[in-house]
Amino acid sequence: MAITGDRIRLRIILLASIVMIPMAGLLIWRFYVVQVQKHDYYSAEAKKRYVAVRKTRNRRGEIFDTNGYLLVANAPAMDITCAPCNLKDDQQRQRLAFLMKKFFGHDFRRSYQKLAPEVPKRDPKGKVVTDESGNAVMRPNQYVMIARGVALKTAQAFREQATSKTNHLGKALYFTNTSGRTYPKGRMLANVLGYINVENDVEIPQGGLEKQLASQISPQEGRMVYERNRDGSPLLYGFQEIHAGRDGQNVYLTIDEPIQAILEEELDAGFEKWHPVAAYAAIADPRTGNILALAQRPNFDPNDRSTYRIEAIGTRIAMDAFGPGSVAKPFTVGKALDCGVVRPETIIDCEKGVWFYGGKRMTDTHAYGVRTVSGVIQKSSNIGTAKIAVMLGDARVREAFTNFGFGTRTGLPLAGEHPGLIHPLKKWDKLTGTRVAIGYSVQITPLQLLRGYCGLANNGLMPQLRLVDRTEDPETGKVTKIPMKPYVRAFRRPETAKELMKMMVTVTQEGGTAQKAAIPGYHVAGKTGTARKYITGVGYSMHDYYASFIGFVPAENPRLVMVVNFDSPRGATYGGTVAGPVFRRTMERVLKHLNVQPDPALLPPEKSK
Amino acid sequence: MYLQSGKNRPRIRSNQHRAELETPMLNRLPGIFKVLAFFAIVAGICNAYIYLNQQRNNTARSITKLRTELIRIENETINERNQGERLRDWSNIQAQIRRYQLPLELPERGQRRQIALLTPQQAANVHYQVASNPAAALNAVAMNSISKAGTGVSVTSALRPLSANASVAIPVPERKFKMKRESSAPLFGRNYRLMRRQR
Repeated sequence: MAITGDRIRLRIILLASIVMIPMAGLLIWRFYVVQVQKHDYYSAEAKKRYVAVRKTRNRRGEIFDTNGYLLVANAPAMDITCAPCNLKDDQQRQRLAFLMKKFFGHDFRRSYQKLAPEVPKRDPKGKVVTDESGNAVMRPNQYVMIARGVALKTAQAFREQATSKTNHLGKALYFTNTSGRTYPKGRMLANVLGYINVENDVEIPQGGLEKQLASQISPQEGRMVYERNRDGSPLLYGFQEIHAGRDGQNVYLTIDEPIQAILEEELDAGFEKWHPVAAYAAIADPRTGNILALAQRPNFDPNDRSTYRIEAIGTRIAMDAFGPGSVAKPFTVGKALDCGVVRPETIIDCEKGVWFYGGKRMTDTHAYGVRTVSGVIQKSSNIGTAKIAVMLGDARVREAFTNFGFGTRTGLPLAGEHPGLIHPLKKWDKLTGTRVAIGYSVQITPLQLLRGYCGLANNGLMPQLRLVDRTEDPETGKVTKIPMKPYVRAFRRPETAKELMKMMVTVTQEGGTAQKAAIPGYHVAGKTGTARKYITGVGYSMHDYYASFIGFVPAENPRLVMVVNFDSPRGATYGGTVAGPVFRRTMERVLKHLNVQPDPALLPPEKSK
Repeated sequence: MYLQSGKNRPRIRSNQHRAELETPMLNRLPGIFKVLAFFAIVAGICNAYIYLNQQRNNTARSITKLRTELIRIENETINERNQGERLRDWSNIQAQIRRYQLPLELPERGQRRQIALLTPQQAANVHYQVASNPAAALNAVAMNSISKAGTGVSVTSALRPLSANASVAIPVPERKFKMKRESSAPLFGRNYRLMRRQR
């Protein structure tokens, strides 16, 4: 029987069906797997390709002085990187190495080697991968850091030259915006401000306020998730999810920049003259506790890494504690006045400069005879003060210091602040009271002394020192003032401070130990200190001294308290000789700057006209 | 059947002719034209899509470019500000004075004046003690008139400093007469005549 056309057609259809139906079934099954079963997986894979995540870098907060003058600023910069595998030939490589030498001072040969188009491949552990014959397997060199944190102008000039028609290096170079820190005032307040290190594009604060205030100053990174096109640009109508970052807060200190500049200048002059191991100075407002200026030497320039030395970095004015010597005497005498143990006119026998007590000898620098309590302060008699301490008793001598915050930190945001040291009463022997009264057997930092003298200047009401005045949100402009802490009442009688002030004024008058600290036109109340330096393992040195002067002016209505301290000055050791003139010169200029009127009666005759 | 009469009426020559006349215009076109028309429409849509997409990408690129430019300008501004602060630094100024041997001295007490810009509200809250110096008083009054205009300019002089903030001062001129207006009484009729008499 012949096969008809219909049968052939049927057979073809059947054959095709046998092949096509399974294929169709396979397609449908595959469709089901991709679109339904593994929908989430493939959707995520696709999103990885067209959804980009960009991290937004926000700005670190800046630091200003109390008047809004900039102390620490953000400096926009650029990181310049290169993909050497994109360099066309050896000539381009040489041109780039030349440009690196011209702009950044890099060695030409080293740069040329660094720009090799291929580098050995390494495994995750860092070992070089070798082939069977022992030769290193090479891979294209895709990333070389040319320069980090380059100033914008330099980066722009580099880019212009690199992408010029002569060099044609545009395709191999990448310029990334970044940000650094700059300190426009150089060395001014460097120890207090601190500095920043940048590691792997992360800013790491090192010391000072940069570290202590990191929680307020540091920015919060933002994230932007968006759908992008082939160029990498966000799609206008695509999905966008923005997690806004936050700029760091700006911080305003209590520091007054002109006063800080004056203090730094005079401290520099003193440092050059007396060549001490270190020098510290600080000025504060006794009514509010605001620190107007704070300086120490040696210091460094945070913009120049070559000036970083171990002895220069760190806020030593807060970290270094030492026996203050005679500058501690007003606290002992003040306590004695407050308790009614002595009066300013009470007579004290200073034993002609040599006194034996408790089996030990105590001496004065000169053979003082009988003095009033006021005279004991004026002449800085150790024996007189020790006798007052004996009358006061150990417990009240200790109270004289603890009432003024000695032995406790000032609470300023300065890393490594030393709390000072006043031994508990149970560790005191018969002599300790007499030694503590004259500033030995205790350890006090210059900032604690400043705080204590603010209390003396403020009628016995001791303010808490302040360094940070307010913070500001740069986005909203909202200012948050840091409130003043309550005063600490150190004297029970309000008259005590006045009586003590009158005694301390005599220190800078004729017959006193700090005549070089006197300022024409003003009554200066202060105290000198010349304390032997204690060297661990050796004892009190015969050659090294701490020379100090602390005072406040004008004495009747104090506007400023200043502490000056020199560690181991050369050529002279007395506080009145070394630190007193620095106090005088600084205060003269600062009083003029603040327009504090002198008393015409105290001016020399030619000036008062 | 066409019922028109006259010489322009279509003359049906054959059945095919009739069929042609009865089918719509579109259906009379050969198939190729339909296919071409279809593809033309599709091509038109594709072209429009590509064109609009290009425009969109160009706009996105312009936005990115503008953003980059804004960032560049912002960075330049920050750099200029930092440079200004560096130049303001006292040690830098001193170095320039020494370098060019400029005959500059620090001002004496009383030579320094400071101008601070205040808002009108701040200006109204600050008191000023006018010293006996008439020149300064006139100057202060002149400044007060400016502050009344709303700019709130204040002037310190080397006169009596203020308690907390010595750099801020607003002069308050003394009134020579007491205006009736200060009371709640309206200024017309008898009150106005009284006021005029007081002057």
